[in-house]
Amino acid sequence: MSTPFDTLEDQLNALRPARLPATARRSILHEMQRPVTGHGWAFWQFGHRIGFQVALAGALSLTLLVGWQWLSRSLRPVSHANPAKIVASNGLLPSLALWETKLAAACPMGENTVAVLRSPSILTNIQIRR
Amino acid sequence: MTPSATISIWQGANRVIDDATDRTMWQRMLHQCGDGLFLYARQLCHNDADAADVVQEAFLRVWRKHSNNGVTEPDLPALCYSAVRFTVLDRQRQAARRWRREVAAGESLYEQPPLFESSLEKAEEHAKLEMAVRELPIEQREVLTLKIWGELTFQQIATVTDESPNTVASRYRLALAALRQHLEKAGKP
Repeated sequence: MSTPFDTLEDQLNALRPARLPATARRSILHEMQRPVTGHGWAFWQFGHRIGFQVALAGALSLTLLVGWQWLSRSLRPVSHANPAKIVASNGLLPSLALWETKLAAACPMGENTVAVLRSPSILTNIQIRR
Repeated sequence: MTPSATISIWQGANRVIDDATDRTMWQRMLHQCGDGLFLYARQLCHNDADAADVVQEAFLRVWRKHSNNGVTEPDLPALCYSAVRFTVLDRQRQAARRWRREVAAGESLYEQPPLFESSLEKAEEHAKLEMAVRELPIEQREVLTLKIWGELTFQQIATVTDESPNTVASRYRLALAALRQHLEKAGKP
Protein backbone atom coordinates (compact mmCIF):
# COMPACT_ATOMS: atom_id res chain seq x y z
CA MET A 1 0.00 0.00 0.00
CA SER A 2 1.36 3.38 -0.97
CA THR A 3 1.56 6.00 1.79
CA PRO A 4 1.77 9.78 1.31
CA PHE A 5 5.40 9.52 2.36
CA ASP A 6 6.09 7.05 -0.46
CA THR A 7 4.75 9.56 -2.98
CA LEU A 8 6.91 12.25 -1.47
CA GLU A 9 9.95 9.96 -1.55
CA ASP A 10 9.27 9.26 -5.23
CA GLN A 11 9.08 12.98 -5.91
CA LEU A 12 12.36 13.55 -4.09
CA ASN A 13 14.00 10.64 -5.91
CA ALA A 14 13.04 12.26 -9.19
CA LEU A 15 15.18 15.27 -8.32
CA ARG A 16 18.69 14.95 -9.70
CA PRO A 17 21.44 16.74 -7.77
CA ALA A 18 23.31 19.45 -9.67
CA ARG A 19 26.48 18.11 -11.22
CA LEU A 20 29.86 18.23 -9.57
CA PRO A 21 31.85 20.91 -11.47
CA ALA A 22 33.87 19.44 -14.32
CA THR A 23 37.08 21.03 -13.04
CA ALA A 24 36.80 19.18 -9.72
CA ARG A 25 35.96 15.94 -11.51
CA ARG A 26 38.93 16.33 -13.87
CA SER A 27 41.27 17.15 -10.98
CA ILE A 28 40.25 13.99 -9.14
CA LEU A 29 40.69 11.80 -12.22
CA HIS A 30 44.01 13.45 -13.02
CA GLU A 31 45.26 12.85 -9.48
CA MET A 32 44.19 9.20 -9.60
CA GLN A 33 45.89 8.61 -12.96
CA ARG A 34 49.18 10.16 -11.93
CA PRO A 35 51.90 7.49 -11.80
CA VAL A 36 52.72 6.47 -8.27
CA THR A 37 56.48 6.24 -7.78
CA GLY A 38 59.20 7.17 -5.36
CA HIS A 39 59.96 6.66 -1.71
CA GLY A 40 57.77 9.55 -0.66
CA TRP A 41 54.70 7.60 -1.80
CA ALA A 42 55.74 4.49 0.17
CA PHE A 43 56.16 6.53 3.32
CA TRP A 44 52.86 8.32 2.71
CA GLN A 45 51.16 4.93 2.38
CA PHE A 46 52.44 3.67 5.71
CA GLY A 47 53.09 6.94 7.49
CA HIS A 48 49.49 7.58 8.48
CA ARG A 49 49.09 4.18 10.13
CA ILE A 50 49.42 4.41 13.86
CA GLY A 51 51.04 0.97 14.13
CA PHE A 52 53.79 2.01 11.78
CA GLN A 53 54.40 5.21 13.69
CA VAL A 54 54.54 3.40 17.01
CA ALA A 55 56.92 0.77 15.61
CA LEU A 56 59.16 3.44 14.13
CA ALA A 57 59.14 5.48 17.34
CA GLY A 58 59.93 2.29 19.32
CA ALA A 59 62.81 1.38 17.04
CA LEU A 60 64.16 4.92 17.26
CA SER A 61 63.95 5.00 21.06
CA LEU A 62 65.54 1.57 21.38
CA THR A 63 68.41 2.54 19.10
CA LEU A 64 69.03 5.71 21.05
CA LEU A 65 68.76 3.94 24.40
CA VAL A 66 71.15 1.16 23.43
CA GLY A 67 73.54 3.67 21.90
CA TRP A 68 73.43 5.86 24.97
CA GLN A 69 74.04 2.96 27.36
CA TRP A 70 76.85 1.65 25.25
CA LEU A 71 78.44 5.08 25.12
CA SER A 72 78.11 5.73 28.85
CA ARG A 73 79.52 2.27 29.66
CA SER A 74 82.45 2.70 27.32
CA LEU A 75 83.25 6.22 28.54
CA ARG A 76 82.94 5.67 32.35
CA PRO A 77 86.26 3.92 33.19
CA VAL A 78 88.49 6.56 31.68
CA SER A 79 91.73 5.08 33.03
CA HIS A 80 91.06 1.62 31.56
CA ALA A 81 89.48 2.91 28.42
CA ASN A 82 90.26 1.06 25.29
CA PRO A 83 91.36 3.59 22.65
CA ALA A 84 89.54 1.59 19.97
CA LYS A 85 86.28 1.89 21.93
CA ILE A 86 86.64 5.63 22.30
CA VAL A 87 87.29 5.99 18.61
CA ALA A 88 84.26 3.82 17.85
CA SER A 89 82.03 5.76 20.24
CA ASN A 90 83.15 9.04 18.71
CA GLY A 91 82.28 7.60 15.34
CA LEU A 92 78.89 6.30 16.53
CA LEU A 93 77.62 9.63 17.73
CA PRO A 94 77.33 11.36 14.33
CA SER A 95 75.81 8.22 12.83
CA LEU A 96 73.19 8.13 15.62
CA ALA A 97 72.36 11.75 14.95
CA LEU A 98 72.15 11.01 11.25
CA TRP A 99 69.75 8.10 11.79
CA GLU A 100 67.66 10.15 14.14
CA THR A 101 67.35 12.91 11.57
CA LYS A 102 66.54 10.45 8.78
CA LEU A 103 63.89 8.60 10.77
CA ALA A 104 62.32 11.80 12.03
CA ALA A 105 62.11 13.12 8.47
CA ALA A 106 60.64 9.86 7.18
CA CYS A 107 58.02 9.47 9.88
CA PRO A 108 55.22 12.08 9.92
CA MET A 109 55.23 12.54 13.70
CA GLY A 110 54.48 15.66 15.66
CA GLU A 111 57.28 17.97 16.74
CA ASN A 112 56.74 17.03 20.38
CA THR A 113 57.30 13.35 19.69
CA VAL A 114 60.51 14.10 17.86
CA ALA A 115 61.63 16.35 20.72
CA VAL A 116 60.95 13.61 23.26
CA LEU A 117 62.78 11.03 21.19
CA ARG A 118 65.71 13.38 20.79
CA SER A 119 66.13 13.90 24.51
CA PRO A 120 68.38 10.85 25.21
CA SER A 121 70.85 11.96 22.58
CA ILE A 122 70.80 15.49 23.98
CA LEU A 123 71.62 14.04 27.41
CA THR A 124 74.39 11.99 25.85
CA ASN A 125 75.88 15.08 24.24
CA ILE A 126 75.78 16.95 27.55
CA GLN A 127 77.36 14.04 29.40
CA ILE A 128 80.08 13.69 26.85
CA ARG A 129 80.90 17.37 27.04
CA ARG A 130 81.22 17.08 30.83
CA MET B 1 63.11 -17.96 -20.57
CA THR B 2 63.73 -18.97 -16.95
CA PRO B 3 60.77 -19.94 -14.72
CA SER B 4 61.46 -17.00 -12.37
CA ALA B 5 61.36 -14.55 -15.29
CA THR B 6 58.05 -16.06 -16.44
CA ILE B 7 56.63 -15.73 -12.92
CA SER B 8 57.73 -12.11 -12.62
CA ILE B 9 56.22 -11.22 -16.01
CA TRP B 10 52.98 -12.97 -15.01
CA GLN B 11 52.92 -11.13 -11.67
CA GLY B 12 53.59 -7.82 -13.44
CA ALA B 13 50.74 -8.40 -15.89
CA ASN B 14 48.45 -9.36 -13.03
CA ARG B 15 49.32 -6.20 -11.16
CA VAL B 16 48.53 -4.10 -14.26
CA ILE B 17 45.12 -5.82 -14.55
CA ASP B 18 44.45 -5.31 -10.82
CA ASP B 19 45.40 -1.64 -11.07
CA ALA B 20 43.14 -1.18 -14.08
CA THR B 21 40.20 -2.87 -12.33
CA ASP B 22 40.84 -0.86 -9.21
CA ARG B 23 41.04 2.39 -11.15
CA THR B 24 37.82 1.58 -13.00
CA MET B 25 36.07 0.93 -9.67
CA TRP B 26 37.13 4.34 -8.35
CA GLN B 27 36.19 6.08 -11.57
CA ARG B 28 32.80 4.38 -11.49
CA MET B 29 32.39 5.49 -7.89
CA LEU B 30 33.19 9.09 -8.82
CA HIS B 31 30.70 8.91 -11.67
CA GLN B 32 27.94 7.46 -9.46
CA CYS B 33 28.50 9.40 -6.25
CA GLY B 34 30.19 12.61 -7.42
CA ASP B 35 26.97 14.60 -7.72
CA GLY B 36 25.56 13.25 -4.45
CA LEU B 37 28.80 14.07 -2.64
CA PHE B 38 28.70 17.58 -4.09
CA LEU B 39 25.10 18.02 -2.95
CA TYR B 40 26.02 16.83 0.55
CA ALA B 41 29.04 19.12 0.68
CA ARG B 42 26.89 22.05 -0.43
CA GLN B 43 24.50 21.40 2.46
CA LEU B 44 27.38 21.68 4.90
CA CYS B 45 29.47 24.40 3.24
CA HIS B 46 27.00 27.06 2.02
CA ASN B 47 29.46 27.82 -0.75
CA ASP B 48 29.78 25.96 -4.04
CA ALA B 49 33.47 26.61 -4.61
CA ASP B 50 34.34 25.32 -1.15
CA ALA B 51 32.00 22.36 -1.64
CA ALA B 52 33.78 21.33 -4.86
CA ASP B 53 37.14 21.60 -3.10
CA VAL B 54 35.81 19.53 -0.21
CA VAL B 55 34.58 16.77 -2.52
CA GLN B 56 37.91 16.68 -4.30
CA GLU B 57 39.89 16.55 -1.07
CA ALA B 58 37.60 13.97 0.54
CA PHE B 59 37.45 11.65 -2.46
CA LEU B 60 41.22 11.66 -2.90
CA ARG B 61 41.67 11.12 0.83
CA VAL B 62 39.50 7.98 0.66
CA TRP B 63 41.24 6.83 -2.50
CA ARG B 64 44.72 7.23 -0.99
CA LYS B 65 43.73 5.50 2.19
CA HIS B 66 41.79 2.59 0.72
CA SER B 67 43.11 2.02 -2.81
CA ASN B 68 45.48 -0.69 -1.61
CA ASN B 69 43.61 -2.33 1.26
CA GLY B 70 41.01 -4.35 -0.63
CA VAL B 71 37.99 -2.18 0.15
CA THR B 72 34.85 -3.36 -1.63
CA GLU B 73 32.66 -1.22 -3.85
CA PRO B 74 29.52 -1.33 -1.62
CA ASP B 75 31.50 0.18 1.27
CA LEU B 76 32.81 3.10 -0.75
CA PRO B 77 29.82 5.48 -0.78
CA ALA B 78 29.57 5.56 3.03
CA LEU B 79 33.33 6.10 3.29
CA CYS B 80 33.17 8.96 0.78
CA TYR B 81 30.23 10.70 2.50
CA SER B 82 31.94 10.25 5.83
CA ALA B 83 35.13 11.78 4.41
CA VAL B 84 33.17 14.77 3.07
CA ARG B 85 31.70 15.39 6.51
CA PHE B 86 35.08 15.01 8.19
CA THR B 87 36.75 17.34 5.68
CA VAL B 88 34.11 20.02 6.18
CA LEU B 89 34.39 19.79 9.97
CA ASP B 90 38.16 19.84 9.72
CA ARG B 91 38.11 22.97 7.57
CA GLN B 92 35.60 24.65 9.85
CA ARG B 93 37.76 23.94 12.87
CA GLN B 94 40.83 25.31 11.10
CA ALA B 95 39.19 28.55 10.09
CA ALA B 96 36.23 28.83 12.44
CA ARG B 97 36.38 32.56 12.85
CA ARG B 98 36.95 33.30 9.16
CA TRP B 99 34.20 30.86 8.18
CA ARG B 100 31.67 32.40 10.55
CA ARG B 101 32.47 35.90 9.27
CA GLU B 102 32.16 34.80 5.62
CA VAL B 103 28.88 33.02 6.23
CA ALA B 104 27.46 36.00 8.11
CA ALA B 105 28.51 38.41 5.35
CA GLY B 106 27.77 36.08 2.45
CA GLU B 107 24.36 34.76 3.35
CA SER B 108 22.65 37.98 2.43
CA LEU B 109 24.71 38.62 -0.73
CA TYR B 110 25.28 35.16 -2.14
CA GLU B 111 22.52 33.99 -4.40
CA GLN B 112 22.54 30.24 -4.02
CA PRO B 113 22.47 28.31 -7.29
CA PRO B 114 19.86 25.52 -7.51
CA LEU B 115 20.68 22.33 -5.65
CA PHE B 116 19.03 20.15 -8.29
CA GLU B 117 18.83 19.89 -12.05
CA SER B 118 15.40 20.62 -13.40
CA SER B 119 13.51 20.01 -16.60
CA LEU B 120 11.21 22.70 -18.01
CA GLU B 121 7.97 20.75 -17.59
CA LYS B 122 8.62 20.03 -13.92
CA ALA B 123 10.43 23.25 -13.07
CA GLU B 124 7.68 24.58 -10.81
CA GLU B 125 7.24 21.36 -8.86
CA HIS B 126 11.01 20.97 -8.46
CA ALA B 127 11.39 24.57 -7.31
CA LYS B 128 8.75 24.04 -4.59
CA LEU B 129 10.42 20.86 -3.43
CA GLU B 130 13.84 22.49 -3.37
CA MET B 131 12.50 25.42 -1.40
CA ALA B 132 10.97 23.00 1.10
CA VAL B 133 14.25 21.06 1.38
CA ARG B 134 16.22 24.25 1.95
CA GLU B 135 13.95 25.20 4.83
CA LEU B 136 14.60 22.01 6.76
CA PRO B 137 16.92 22.16 9.77
CA ILE B 138 20.44 21.11 8.82
CA GLU B 139 20.30 17.82 10.81
CA GLN B 140 17.17 16.71 8.97
CA ARG B 141 18.45 17.94 5.60
CA GLU B 142 21.67 16.03 6.13
CA VAL B 143 19.85 12.76 6.81
CA LEU B 144 17.46 13.32 3.91
CA THR B 145 20.35 13.98 1.51
CA LEU B 146 22.25 10.89 2.59
CA LYS B 147 19.15 8.70 2.41
CA ILE B 148 17.56 9.88 -0.83
CA TRP B 149 20.50 11.04 -2.98
CA GLY B 150 23.32 9.20 -1.24
CA GLU B 151 21.27 5.98 -1.15
CA LEU B 152 22.78 5.00 2.20
CA THR B 153 21.04 2.79 4.77
CA PHE B 154 20.06 4.19 8.18
CA GLN B 155 22.91 2.19 9.69
CA GLN B 156 25.42 3.76 7.28
CA ILE B 157 23.98 7.23 7.86
CA ALA B 158 24.30 6.68 11.59
CA THR B 159 27.98 5.86 11.10
CA VAL B 160 28.56 8.89 8.89
CA THR B 161 26.80 11.35 11.20
CA ASP B 162 27.95 9.71 14.43
CA GLU B 163 24.38 9.31 15.71
CA SER B 164 22.29 6.29 16.62
CA PRO B 165 20.26 4.60 13.84
CA ASN B 166 17.04 5.40 15.75
CA THR B 167 17.87 9.11 15.87
CA VAL B 168 18.67 9.07 12.18
CA ALA B 169 15.44 7.28 11.25
CA SER B 170 13.46 9.66 13.45
CA ARG B 171 15.09 12.69 11.77
CA TYR B 172 14.24 11.25 8.37
CA ARG B 173 10.57 10.83 9.29
CA LEU B 174 10.47 14.36 10.73
CA ALA B 175 12.05 15.70 7.54
CA LEU B 176 9.43 13.98 5.37
CA ALA B 177 6.63 15.25 7.61
CA ALA B 178 8.00 18.80 7.47
CA LEU B 179 8.37 18.62 3.71
CA ARG B 180 4.82 17.39 3.31
CA GLN B 181 3.50 20.14 5.56
CA HIS B 182 5.47 22.74 3.63
CA LEU B 183 4.17 21.49 0.28
CA GLU B 184 0.59 21.46 1.56
CA LYS B 185 1.01 25.03 2.70
CA ALA B 186 2.39 25.93 -0.69
CA GLY B 187 -0.83 24.57 -2.22
CA LYS B 188 0.24 21.18 -3.51
CA PRO B 189 -0.61 17.99 -1.63
